Amino acid sequence: MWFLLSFVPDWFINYFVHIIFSVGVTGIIVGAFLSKVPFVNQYGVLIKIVSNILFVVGLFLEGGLQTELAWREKVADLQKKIEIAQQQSKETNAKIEQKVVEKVKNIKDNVNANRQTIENNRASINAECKLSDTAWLLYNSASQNALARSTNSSTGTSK
Amino acid sequence: MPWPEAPIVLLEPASNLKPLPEDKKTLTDLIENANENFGTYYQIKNKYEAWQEWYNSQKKIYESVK
Repeated sequence: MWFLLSFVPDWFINYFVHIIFSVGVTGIIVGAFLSKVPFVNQYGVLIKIVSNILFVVGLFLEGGLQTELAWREKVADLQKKIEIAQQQSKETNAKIEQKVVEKVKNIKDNVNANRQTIENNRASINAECKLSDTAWLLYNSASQNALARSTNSSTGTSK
Repeated sequence: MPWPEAPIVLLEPASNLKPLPEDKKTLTDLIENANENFGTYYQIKNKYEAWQEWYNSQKKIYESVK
């Protein structure tokens, strides 16, 4: 039942509870006064009974209201913090993404520059050495994290 | 608090190292292949470090909400 209160605006609950409590307190005072006045003292007793009920109900609701408002404040505070955190998270992601993209670009640039240098020196590099089948096999096994098959066919030459 | 989204670049699959084709057995082929594979390694290392940075920063943000 109490969860239904979350759909009611704060100001309405505030007024409603304060009015019940105020009517209860006023009624007790008025009832006490009227019960001493002759001719109307029978109304005073009735007012006192009703006012006492309103006072007790009002007091209970005042307590509930303060708790409800305290929780609402906490929820609002937490929601604000979550919104800020989500924003920070997005900004951090954007920064990380930008950093990664820039670094990858630099890495690719360096790879391309090295490729160009290798291409320019192709003749001189290859004049010095040629890979044997074993070397080729071992190299591929290492790069693929596989075990090299046993081979002794060193057909390649190296100067 | 909803689970934070990771940057899209970090969700891309890591590429494999390329083997040396059978018809390429010169030293330059080897160096070219190594050059390319080293590039791949550095890209993956870069993303790995970015994941660490992402985790640490998201953890800090999450803890600030409590």
